[in-house]
Amino acid sequence: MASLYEEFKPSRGGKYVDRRFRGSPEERAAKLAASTTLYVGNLAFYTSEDQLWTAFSRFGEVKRVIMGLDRNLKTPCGFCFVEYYRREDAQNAIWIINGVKVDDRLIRADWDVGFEPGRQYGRGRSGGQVRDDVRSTYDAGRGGYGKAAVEGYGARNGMQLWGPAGEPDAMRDDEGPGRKRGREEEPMVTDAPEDIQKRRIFRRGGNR
Amino acid sequence: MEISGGRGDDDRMRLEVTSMLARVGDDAEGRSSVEEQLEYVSGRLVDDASRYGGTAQYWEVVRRALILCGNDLAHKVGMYSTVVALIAGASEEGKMTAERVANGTSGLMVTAIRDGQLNKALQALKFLCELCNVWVVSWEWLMETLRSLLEAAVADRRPFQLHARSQMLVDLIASALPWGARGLKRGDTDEFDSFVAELLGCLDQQLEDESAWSSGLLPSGGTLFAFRPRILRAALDDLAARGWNSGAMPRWDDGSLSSRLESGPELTLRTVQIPSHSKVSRYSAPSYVCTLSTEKPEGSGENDRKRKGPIEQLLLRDTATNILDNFLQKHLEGAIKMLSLPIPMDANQEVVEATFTEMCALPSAYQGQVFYGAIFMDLCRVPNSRLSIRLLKAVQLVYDKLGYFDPEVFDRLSDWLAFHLSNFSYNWNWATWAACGTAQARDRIPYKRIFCRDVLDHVCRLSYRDKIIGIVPDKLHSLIPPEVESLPARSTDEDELKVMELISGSDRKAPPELKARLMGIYGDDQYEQILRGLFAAILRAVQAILSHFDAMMERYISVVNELIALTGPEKATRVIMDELWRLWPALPLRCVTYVDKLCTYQVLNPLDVINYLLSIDGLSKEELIDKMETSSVWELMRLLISRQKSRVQSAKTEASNAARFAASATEAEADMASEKLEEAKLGVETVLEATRKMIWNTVGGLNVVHTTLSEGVEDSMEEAENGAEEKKIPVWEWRVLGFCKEVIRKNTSVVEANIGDFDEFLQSGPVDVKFRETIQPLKTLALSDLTDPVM
Repeated sequence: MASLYEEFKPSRGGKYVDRRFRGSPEERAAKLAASTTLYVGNLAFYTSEDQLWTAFSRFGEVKRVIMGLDRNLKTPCGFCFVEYYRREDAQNAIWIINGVKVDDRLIRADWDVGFEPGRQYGRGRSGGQVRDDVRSTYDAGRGGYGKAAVEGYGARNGMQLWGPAGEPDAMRDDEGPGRKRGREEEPMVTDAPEDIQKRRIFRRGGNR
Repeated sequence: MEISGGRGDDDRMRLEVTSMLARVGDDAEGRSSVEEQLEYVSGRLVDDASRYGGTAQYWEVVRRALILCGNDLAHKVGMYSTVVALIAGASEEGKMTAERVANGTSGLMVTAIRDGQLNKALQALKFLCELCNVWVVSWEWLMETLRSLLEAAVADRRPFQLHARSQMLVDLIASALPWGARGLKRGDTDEFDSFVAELLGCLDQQLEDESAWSSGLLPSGGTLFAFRPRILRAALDDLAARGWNSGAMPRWDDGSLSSRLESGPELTLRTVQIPSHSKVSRYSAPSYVCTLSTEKPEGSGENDRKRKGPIEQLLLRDTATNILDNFLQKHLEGAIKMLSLPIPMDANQEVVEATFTEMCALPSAYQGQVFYGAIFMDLCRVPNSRLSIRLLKAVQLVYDKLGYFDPEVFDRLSDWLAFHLSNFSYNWNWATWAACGTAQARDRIPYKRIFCRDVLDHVCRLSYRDKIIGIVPDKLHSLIPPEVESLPARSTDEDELKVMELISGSDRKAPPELKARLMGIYGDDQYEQILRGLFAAILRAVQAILSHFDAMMERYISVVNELIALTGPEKATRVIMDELWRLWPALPLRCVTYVDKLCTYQVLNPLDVINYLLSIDGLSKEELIDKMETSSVWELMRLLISRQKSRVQSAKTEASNAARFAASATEAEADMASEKLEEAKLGVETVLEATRKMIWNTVGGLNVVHTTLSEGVEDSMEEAENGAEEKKIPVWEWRVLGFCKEVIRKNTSVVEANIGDFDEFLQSGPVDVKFRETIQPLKTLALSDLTDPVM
């Protein structure tokens, strides 16, 4: 059935692509076709592994959840990889989880070629995801205003504001194109509401 | 069912044809009426033949697209049959295509019957019925097909035995008859009447089996679920009383198109050979239908409801079910389709009922549980949808009848509601549940209390404790899992801290050194103490982050395994489970996940875990009741048994792969292949034996718990006494008996293969009357051919 609608209504927007994948498009396609790993995006920084485990284990036995971390702070930065034992379970998760809210946010999931050590870190200049570097809007679940809202931040870092900023639902290569790693120069804008800041501290304390 | 094609032009042709057909009728309120759209589409299909050179390839694409749409978009089946009729009347190629569409559809029906897929077979038969209505297929052929289906159903019935295939076939005919009656009535009326009488007789016979089916497959809910043959019988009686014509089936062949359709070819197709066997292991049609209309509907929908008789309700429910089955990959599209059925009636009530029916179907739902959650979420999110009002009423009805539900269905409902609320910012009238948090709730409304507690537990899993505390009224705080810090401290906390220093932080020790240091703390041969201390420290060290448990276990699994071997597996399981049990009230999800992981690491044996959970040793009656009322205990047992089923499946897959390899092996590989095959066969036997042990151990354990807790308790009344608000059967008993049923109905093939164990079990020890009464009818169920869906 799905093919009926798939054919004349191709999904809008790009699918998730790991731009640092070293291999030909054919190799990438082959890896994706056999993958049991999902890339999950648009998470709140405060979403815990337990919540993700609860959300994704509904579809089948989860092998592991790898939280995406800020390269500098080593705190969650809004994405993760979910690996299943069986491909069917991962497929069901993709079909259903898109459009579902986790921690009050509509999350997005797509196939990933498979996790490799190092990929858990954000590739933005600030250490987090690129999308938060280029975002100028306010997003309480992702640390308040994005880096692009900080005056002069982009110019000082030679940042190119590619792609539409401030689209929390957009599925883009959150880890960004290959760039030199830069040290965080500007502090993350932390004007999130007080309760969210408290929650962050609470979670770091492992009090759950 | 894919439309295969080449590249370039072929792909474009396929895309155009399929897209055009799939869209037909979708915007009927837009520029043109459905009739105009049907005329346009059929005209285009005929005209485009010349554009594509009138090739056989083009008509093949049209045939495939029509079969695909007619079967998979069954809510528009009447439209596709009309299109087929129009192209059949337009050209010779069109007529040939129509014949091939009908033959292809009957082929699909046969395949679906063979695969035991009732809903797929029903879609195909409905399409054939509609093709008869528009004069494409002759009424004689349709009658002959229905007769042969009925004969197969009657032949399959054996005395004193439930027969799932017979039920499936009768269900298929009775569900399709309303669609085909119009066409069949064109022919011999006497023959039609005698056929209907015979079918009703079969339905009546099935009603006699109702109690046997109910023993294990009734989702219950008091009066909320009705046996499907009863629903079908009422619907057919209603339809007959109205002269076999219902408003729930919109027609496009009455008006301007009727004269063109009446000159249809009335084809007599190939005789349908009903397969002699069906894989009814895949039979997952709901035998019980959720009927939420026990209370008078209120509000603006009342008039609609009054107009709808049993036949309209059946047709709307079936159409919604059809969409549910076909829109797994596009659940939002499915929800939109359900809310805009091309039927001149408000179908919200039936959509809710159909979704509940599917979600609560036993032994398993057709799709994963989370799919129905996503559908309900979409149904409420679609702009201008008024379904949420119906859904709220449905939840209220369900909430009032909670004690009557099968425990498995109860758990599905609490899980679903938590998921649903998590998608709507936990907006709920929590105040109406406040009574569940009072001290009297355990006695007065035990089922509501447990449901409320489970929903709160699940919403905490999906969110976090502090948030939920801030949302729900103070009275309900007692039902929310406590914080870990509030749990009673262990007496050996000091040693535990020392061990924690050894296993975590930058100064952590490697396994050999760790073992030596542990012996230094607890004593050289105090293996049980060492294991307890180590495990407690591990649990404390990984408290912050779930995946740290994996890292910790990977690091120290050698030490843990060594200590288990020295302690003895059973004692070790008790030690580990004791430590987990301490954390259980605060971290139920974590504990369930840890046990699951430990079983994967083969640190724990699932059988021992089940024995621990059902153990009565050292527990007072109150403690045992508390344990039996803890929903996550049942969640864990359900998980362990399902994992065992997966192991069986994997072993069987491995064996079939080995068999394939052996069949194609060269002479040089022959020895290795046969060795591999033997090994795989042995693997299947081993895992099946482990499953058998697990099932009977569980049933035995449940019996021991039941016997222990029943002692000194007077027979409880099943129904609510005057003044009491809920059913009076104790929660622990409802859980124990319910899980016993669940284990057997989900593993009927294993139970069937070892049916002697049933009698042995009943004779071997003291079995409580109620337990015996529960288990005896399940033997009938196991002996019927309704086997579980996986094995």
